This record gives sequence, structure tokens and C-alpha cells, in this order.
Amino acid sequence: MPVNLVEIQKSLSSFADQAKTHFEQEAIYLRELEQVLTSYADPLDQIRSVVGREVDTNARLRCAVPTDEAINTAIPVGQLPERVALLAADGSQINPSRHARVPFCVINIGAVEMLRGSGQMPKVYQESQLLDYDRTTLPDTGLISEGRVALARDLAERQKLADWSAELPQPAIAMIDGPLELYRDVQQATEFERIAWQFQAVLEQFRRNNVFLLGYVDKPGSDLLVSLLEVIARQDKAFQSSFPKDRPVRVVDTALFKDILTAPGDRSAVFSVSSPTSGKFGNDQQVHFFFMNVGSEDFQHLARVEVPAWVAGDKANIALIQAALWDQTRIMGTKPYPYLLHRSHEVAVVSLDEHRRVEEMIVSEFLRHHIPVGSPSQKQAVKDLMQDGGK
Amino acid sequence: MTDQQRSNTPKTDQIGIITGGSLKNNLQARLTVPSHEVQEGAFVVAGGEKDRWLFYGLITDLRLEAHDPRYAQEDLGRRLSPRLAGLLRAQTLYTSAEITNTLMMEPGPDPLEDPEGYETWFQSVLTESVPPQPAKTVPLHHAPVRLARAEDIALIFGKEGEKAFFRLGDTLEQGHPVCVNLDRLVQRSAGIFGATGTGKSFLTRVILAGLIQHDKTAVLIFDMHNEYGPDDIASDTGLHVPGLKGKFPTKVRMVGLGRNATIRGARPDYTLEVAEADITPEDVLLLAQELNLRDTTATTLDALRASFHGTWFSEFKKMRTNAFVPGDDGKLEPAPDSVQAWAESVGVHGSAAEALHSKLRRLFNAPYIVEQPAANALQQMIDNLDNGQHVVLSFGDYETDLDYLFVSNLLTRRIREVWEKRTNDFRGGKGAPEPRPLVIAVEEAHKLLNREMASQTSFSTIAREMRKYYVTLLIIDQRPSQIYDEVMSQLGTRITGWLGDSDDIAAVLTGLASRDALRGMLARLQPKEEVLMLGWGVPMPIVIRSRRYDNVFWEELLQPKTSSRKTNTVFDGLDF
Amino acid sequence: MADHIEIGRLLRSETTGFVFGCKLDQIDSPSFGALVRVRMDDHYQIFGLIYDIQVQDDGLVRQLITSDTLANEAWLDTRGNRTVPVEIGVLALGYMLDGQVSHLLPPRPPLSLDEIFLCTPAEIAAFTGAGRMGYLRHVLRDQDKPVEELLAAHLKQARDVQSAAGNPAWFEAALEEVIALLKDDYPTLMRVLGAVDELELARDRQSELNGRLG
Ligand SMILES: Nc1ncnc2c1ncn2[C@@H]1O[C@H](COP(=O)(O)OP(=O)(O)OP(=O)(O)O)[C@@H](O)[C@H]1O
Ligand SMILES: [Mg+2]
Repeated sequence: MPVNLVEIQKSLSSFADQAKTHFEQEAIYLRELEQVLTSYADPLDQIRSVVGREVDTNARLRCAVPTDEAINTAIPVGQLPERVALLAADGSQINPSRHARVPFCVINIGAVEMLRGSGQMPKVYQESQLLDYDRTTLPDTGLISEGRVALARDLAERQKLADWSAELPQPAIAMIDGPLELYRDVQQATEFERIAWQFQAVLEQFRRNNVFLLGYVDKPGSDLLVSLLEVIARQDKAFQSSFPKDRPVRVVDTALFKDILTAPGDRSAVFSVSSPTSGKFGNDQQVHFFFMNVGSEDFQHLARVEVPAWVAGDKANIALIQAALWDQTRIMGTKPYPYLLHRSHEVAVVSLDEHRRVEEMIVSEFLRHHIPVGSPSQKQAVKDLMQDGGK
Repeated sequence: MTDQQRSNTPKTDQIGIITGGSLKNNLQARLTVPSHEVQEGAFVVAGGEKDRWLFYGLITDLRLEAHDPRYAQEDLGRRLSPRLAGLLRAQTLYTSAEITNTLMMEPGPDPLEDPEGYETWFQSVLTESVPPQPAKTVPLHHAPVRLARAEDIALIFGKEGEKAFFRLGDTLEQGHPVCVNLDRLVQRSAGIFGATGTGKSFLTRVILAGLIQHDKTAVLIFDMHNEYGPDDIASDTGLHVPGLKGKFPTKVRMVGLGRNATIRGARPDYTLEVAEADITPEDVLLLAQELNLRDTTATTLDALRASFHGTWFSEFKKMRTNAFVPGDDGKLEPAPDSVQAWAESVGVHGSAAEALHSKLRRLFNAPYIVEQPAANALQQMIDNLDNGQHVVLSFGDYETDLDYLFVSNLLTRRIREVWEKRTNDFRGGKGAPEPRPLVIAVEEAHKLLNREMASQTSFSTIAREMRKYYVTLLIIDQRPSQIYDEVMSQLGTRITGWLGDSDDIAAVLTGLASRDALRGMLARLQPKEEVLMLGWGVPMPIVIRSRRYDNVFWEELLQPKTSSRKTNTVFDGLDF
Repeated sequence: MADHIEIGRLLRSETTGFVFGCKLDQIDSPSFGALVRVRMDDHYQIFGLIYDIQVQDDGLVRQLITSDTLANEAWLDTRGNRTVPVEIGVLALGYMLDGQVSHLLPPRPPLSLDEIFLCTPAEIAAFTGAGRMGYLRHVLRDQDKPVEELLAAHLKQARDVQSAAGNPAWFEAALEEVIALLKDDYPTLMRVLGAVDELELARDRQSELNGRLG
């Protein structure tokens, strides 16, 4: 047995003690944040100027900024219009591997379109792309990194979503899983710039077509509102003295919204984000977000929804999105998650079997052209064995 | 013949396949036809034409069997549609037949492929140069079993019209003719049994007619009830029953007992009187039961013979009884011509002699017993029998058992003595001719052949001697159990109709293999005109429907060559 | 061509049978007890009987069950788009090699993704009419399967085809073979015959109706 359970056993009680302290601290800190929240729910202009002041001193600040709704607002979900067009896209990839017999990379995008209320069978889109050999094998780093592949995939996913949603009847909503923006740890900044530039074009495409793009974050770990409250607390005399200088424990936004979005379907106020890159794609495309309780009476479940500023600008749009997401998550019953996002993931995902089949196809094509083909690395061979045996 | 046809041919009359059995016990067959298409006693053949042997036997038992008892227990007709139930029954319910494994024979050439070869072979079977032999092995598993065809029966029992083969009846299922070999029938004594009304007398008529027509054997019939000689009226149907005399006027001699005898109102060819001198003490002893004779009788009779030799009967008859004369001393003493006097003179008990005398009075008074018969009828009968003629002795009015016993025994004794002498002469190389075989037919045979009398009558001697002296018996009786079993066991051929009494059944089957199986068959015969033939004289036991004794019979018998019997009997009796 | 109805492709196989998949919206064609064939090459095809149709579930389907009101479009989506496979089990009954039908098990099982076709009446007549119904033993072998229902369904199909092809005696011969094969197993045989009787009854009712309609 590779794990020494006895040694682990010895540390268990101290480990549990630490966790206990953590939760106690969290609760205390949360209470303090809530006090800030209650006293600063309304004076929106005041808050904005506080943030503005803070940005001046802290260029790296990332926090939520209220728009025109009180921070602690809860807005119930409304009626879904008779017809609404929905499209969700997701992507997946086969990363190139040193252990494979041939270097290759595949990006696979799937999307599902539902004309809700039409009674029509949803439409499935699917596109697979074998990355050029020259882009897969690079002169300096060798194989293309997984991060770059992921970035390319994310971009492709958004691009396809824009293309396939172009013709949707109005009103139309397009969604992806996760935040709208591309955050990638890319080695080469120039590469990212190029991609960001393309992404902007995509964003513009949605706007041109009047398709409401949204990013759905299922288990949001963000602390943008927490950060906002911290900024306020540190500037307000009333709190300054007692409020800790540094954050004692990590607290996330959902902990704050828990007691605000109590009714199923409720959404929070719409916030914009103040961040170093927030203005990158122009004001119209700046990311806005709100929280939403997609759970049931018995079981609260909070999601964060990101939309571009041009969508957030009209509260009717937000209401439509809220209703549509509410409807989508209802379809999934006890696991509230937008049905179409699940389906597009299903379409996009590359199974192990398919992975192998593609590899076989490439290998046999190589062999036909007398192109040398490596043997799988020993490590891969062993893994394969284990996989077969474990079946 | 194509293979197709060949393989189809046996299928048509196939009734099943062999599934088991042993040489010591019977064979088992699974029927492939409904049980009702086969009956007990059916004559069957096991084995294919290409097999080494064909086996012949009788069905002695039919059993309903099931592949699994549940198929039999469940009322399939209620659970399934008629069609399905039918299909299911066909495969899971069946009848198994028990078959005696009696004879076996190599199959001959195919009659269709090689008719000449078949005919030659067939003849050799009939002449017994290639006889069917007792089964010494068993058929193969799944050997086909079929009902015997006419040719199978002909192979085993002989073919009508050929040699000495005489049709005695037909098989039950298909009506194939079954023959007896008349030569063989008379080689040993034979018996015809059956409860009253089963057709013994009719069948005897058929056999006797056959023997007379066949003309190899002389027949002497003691016709106690005037059934055989003269024409008769059947007691049950009221129909006219032709007698042998009418059909064979010159060949059959009708002899009446007593000088003035008439037979059904007609005069016989001649009459028979018994000469007193021909009567032996044994003839009298035989009547011990009828006359209620005492134990002392034998002593008295011995004394009579010692005193008077051949004339003892006449002398004794003349003696007076209870005759006393005054003696010298004045006392009454037996008259010199009295029984008492004779008794005293020879030292036998006077009262015993008196008693015998009084008991013999029935004989003394019998009109057919005379001192000097007008003609030597006995000699004439012997001559007749020598000359290819046959004698029916009618008892006319003398219908008592006493008359029957006395006369038939006495005559038989005399005739047998003659035949014995002739046989000895013939065998002694004195150039004497071979005696003509003689069959003596006796009804109510148990009266002559019961345990008490068997030792004394000439009948039992004949039965025991078989054909040594060219004389055999044809005994007809309804109570075979009363016949001395030693005699029964000597009977070569037994033909028996239905018997109700288990003792009778057992008696008929004494000394036979597969008794148990035959017993059942016997008990289940039709009450009339169905008989079981068995014994040495037939190749194997078989149940037949007796040949009908009617006009058709006589037509066929008397012009056999011109109107050979057709297999299709539909038009029989119709006049074209 | 209408008489070559492809109903799916092979998922996995073994000597005694195979499983093929079809999409949910293809499911109308294959039915329980139907005779199917896999064309291996120009000379060799395998015949089999559909004994099992399984609509598989998966996480999503199971999840959708929990929804209070299933959206019409989601229902259509699952039916039409999702690759929830319908797995169809087929019992191998024999094969045809160079035009010769054999009721022995196929020497080679079919391979992944081979196409499965429904048999046409002519093919049914040819396969079931060849030889002496030896293939029925394969049907009866596996008592884990609903043998009686399977046989009844098959016999109905084959009976109709054979009668139409001018061979009405086929049915009875088949029943005789079934009885012969199963008579050692009373309970099963009675169940099978019971199921066959249902067929008969149904047909009687049908012909009675036809009679009434003139
Ligand atoms: N072979 C036959 N042909 C024609 N009729 C027959 C035949 N056998 C028997 N019968 C009929 O059956 C009746 C009885 O037959 P039969 O007189 O021969 O019986 P039985 O056995 O001699 O009886 P019993 O012991 O009383 O003398 C006959 O009157 C006749 O009608
Ligand atoms: Mg009589």
C-alpha cells in the first residue's frame, strides 16, 4: 500500500482543528462583510466613487461595481416568452502527447440549438478540426502546449457559437459554460493578443446579430463582491478600525448571496467588473454579471451569469436570460444546470475510443506514405494495458 | 423400382419400431399408428427387407405410454387448441406393443425385382427345405414392425391351394388367409376346444371337409349328435347346414347303430351291430362310472373271462339271477344256470356277481348288441376306410353317454388293433402295404379321456402313441380341463375358441411357451368364430377368424382350381 | 431499395449471437422475434433472431426523469439526437455461404460496425424453409431468454411468410420440431405451446374478422 495510513492518522486531529478554526473565522468575517453590505446597499454613486478612488491607488484591483440596482436586490424570475431561440456550444480537445505514436491535436466543437416553444427537434452542430501538423509541432518548444490548445479551443468554441447562432430567430440567446472572457496562462503574449483580437471580433458578431451571449458559471468561486465590500470597509471610517487589514480567510460571493437570493429563480443585481482588462474590448463588451438561484425550495443552488454590457444595458434582456436559464435548469430536474450546456458538452466530448480511432487513422495514413511512426512510449503502453485490463 | 418407392413401400403397413425386448421375454415396439389400428393377437413382422432376418410374432399386449407422465396426466385438449394438442400427443403419447418373438426367417428375394427367384424361394419355404425357424436372436433396435402381409402369412402358414395347405381362417386385422398343413395336422392328435357355441362343430366340419377333400387320410367320425353326416339346421340361426354325406355322397359312408337305425329319418348306408363276442371285460370296466360299478367288478369280470373266454358276455347274459332250486338236501340252492351258482363254482362273491349282472342289464338289453350281427359291419367300416372312404357313425336314437362311450371305445379298440397289426406287417418287411392314416373324430372327448378313464381307453393310447400306428384323434371338447393332462400334452395342434373357465384355459395352454401372453389372448377372443391356433402343428400361435362354413366354403372347396379365391372379397356371394 | 432495410450496426458479437445498436429514432423497424441478417461479404451472411431490444439509459436520461415537466424539445432531442443506443440482441441461427443455407452456428461472428438488415420475406422463406428446421434448437437453447415469446413471435413471422409463399405445411412441421426438441422439458414446452396458441387464437380471430368483412 503506497500510502502510510498510520502517519496520516497521526495528523488527522490537528487537521480537523485547523478546519474548525477556519470555519469559525469565515463566519466571523462574513458577518462583518454583511454589515458593510447592509449599510452600503443603496448609495450606488457613492460606491462607484469609492471604487474609482481605490483604482487610483491599486491598479490591479478586481472587484464588482454596482450598476443601477441595489447590491442586495433580489429580482424574481419572470415568464418565459412563448418563443425563444437558444444555442449552447462547448469544446473539447485531444492534446498532443509525447507518449503517442504520432503528434496530433484535435479540437472538437459541439453545439445544440433549441427553439424553445416551437415543438421542434433540437438541432445538433458538430465540428472537428485536426490541427495543422506545423502548428502542432513547433520549432522551439516541440509539441504545442496544452494551454495553447485550450485557448484555441475556447476561441473556436465562441467563434462557432457566433456562426451557428447567426441565423437564429429573435429573441436569441447563445451560451457557453464558464466565464466569457479568455483567461489563459499563455507563454507568448503576442499569441494571446492575436487571439484576444479575434475574440473581440466574435463578440462584435453577437452584437451585430443581436444574439444575447452569456457565460454560465455553475459553481462560482469568485470574490468580486467580497472585494468590493472590503474596499468600502477600508475607506469608511465606521468600519476602518475594526475591519482587518488583510483578509483572514477566503470568502466567496455566493456566501453573501445565500441570504439574498432566497427564492428559487431569484437573480441578484447586475454588476460590472472593475479590472485592469475590463475595458479591453470596449465599453459595450465589458463583462457584467449577476447571480441567480437556480435551485429549489429545499436546495439553494447559485450560479453566476456573465453577459456583455450591451446585453446588460436593457433589463428586459436580463429578464429574458433569467427566465431562459430558469427554464433550462428546470429541464434537468434535481441537478439544475442548463440542459443545452449539458448537451453541447455531450456532443463535444471526445471519448477515449474516438481518441484511439483517430490515432489509428493517422498512423495508417502515415504508414501508407512511409512516414515514420513512433512506437507508443513505454509509459503509454503500460497505461493502455492497465486500461484494457481494467475494463 | 426407385429408391423412393422402395423406401415407401414398407411404410404403408408399418405400425411401429422395435424399442426393446429380450430373447427370453417378449419384444417391445413403439407404435407409430393409433392404438386402435392394432389389436391383440395381430400377426406382425419385425425387420426390414434388407435385414438379415425377419422376425414373426404376435401382439400380446398394448400399453398406453407417455414420454413424460405429465403429458398423459394433463388434459391437453383443455389446455391447448385441438391442432396443437394433436401435434403434442403425436409426439409425447404413444402406445407400446408387446410382441412375441416366435419365428425368424431370412428374407427372400424381392418379389417385384426378381419374381422367379421369389417363387422358387417361396416354394422351398413351403416344402420346408428353408423353414422358418424358432427365433434365436432378436431384431435390431428400431427395426420396422408391420402387420403381416398375405405373403408373410403364406410363408409361415402355407399358401392356400398348394400342397396340403388348407385355409382355416383369416387374420383378424386384414383378413389374410391362414392355412394349416393338413398332413401335419393329422400327424399327431389334435384338439378343438371352446365353450359351448363358440363354433367347434362348425370348425370341425370345415376341417373334416378339408381332410376328405385332401384325400390322404381316412376319417372316422363318432357323430354323437348327428351333426356331421346328415344335413342339419343350425340351432341359433335356423339356417341349413350341409352335412358331409350330402357333399361327398360316395366318399362318406353313413353307418347307423342298431339294425333299424335311421338318421334324421333316412336310412344309413349300413348298420352296425356289436357282436357279444367282441365285448371285452375292459369295455365294461370303462363304463364303471356310467354303470356305477363296484370295486369288485374287475375280479368278477376276470373270473367270467377265465370261465367262458370269448363268450363271457353271452354266457353271463344268459345266467339267471335270484334263481334257486331245491337241492338234494331239500334246501334251496342256486339254480345251475344262475349267477350265484357260477359264482360259487369259481369262488367269487355271489352278491358281487349278482350286482354286476344287474348293472350290466343296460348292455344286455341294448338292441345293437347281438349274438350274431347280420353283417360284419366292423369289417365293412375297415374296408371303407381302406378304400379311401370315410365313415360317420351315427348313434341315432342311442344318445346316452353309455352308448357313446361303449360303442366308440369298443370300435376304436378294434380298429386300432387292426391298424396296429397292419403297421407291424408293413414295418416287418412282409410286403404289406402302408396303412392309410386314420383320424378318429370324437366329440365330448373328456368323457373318454378324463383322468379316471384315460388309462383304460384306447383313445388315450392313440393319443400317446401319436402316429406310430397311423391313427390319430381329433378331439372336440368344451371342457379341456377335464381331459387328462397327459393326453392334453400330447396334442400336436390345438385350436381353441373362447374359454371362460380359467382351468380350461390353463389346460389348453399346458406345455406351451409364452403361456401368459396366450392366456390373455384366449380370454379375449370373440365369443364366436375366432380361434387361437397353437401347438406343434402350427408354426406359431395365431388368432384367426374361423373360415365360414357356408355355401361359399363348399363352392371353393369343391372347385378349388377353377375359382381360386380372390383377395378382394367384396363380391363374394353376389351372383354375376 | 425498400426491401433492404438497414436497421443498425454491430456493436459486439460472439459465436452464439451479437448485439447491434441503432438510434432511438430507428427503433421502429426491428421488432422482437424478427429475422435479421448481417452481410459479411458477397458470399457469406449470418442470420439471427432479435431476442432483446434494450433502450439503454445514461446519466442524462436518468437526470431528465427527475424533471417535473419534461420540455417537449428535450424529449425530441433525446429521441432524435442523442446517441443513447438502442441495443438489440440477436441470436445467431445460421448462415448462408455461397447461396447455401446452414443451420449451424456461423463459423465467424460478424465484426464491429457491420450493417444489420431486416430479412425480406424471400430471405425468411429461404432460411426457415431450408433443411429440417435445425435452427430452432438455437432458439430453444438459452433458457434465460424469453424462449416462448421469442418462438411465438418468430413462428408467427415465418408462418405468414411461408403461407404466402405457398407452403402452409411449414408451420406444422415447425411445431413438430419444437415439440421434439422440448418434450423433455415439460414446463417449457407447455409455456411455448401456450404462447403459440395465442398466435393461433389471434389468427382465428383475424380470419373471422376477414370473413365477416367478406
Ligand atoms: N365357421 C363357422 N361358419 C358359420 N357359422 C359358424 C361358424 N362357427 C360358428 N358358427 C355359428 O355359431 C353357432 C355355434 O357354433 P357350433 O355349433 O359350432 O358351436 P359349438 O362350439 O360346437 O358348441 P357346442 O359346444 O354347444 O356344441 C353355429 O350355429 C353357427 O351359427
Ligand atoms: Mg358342437
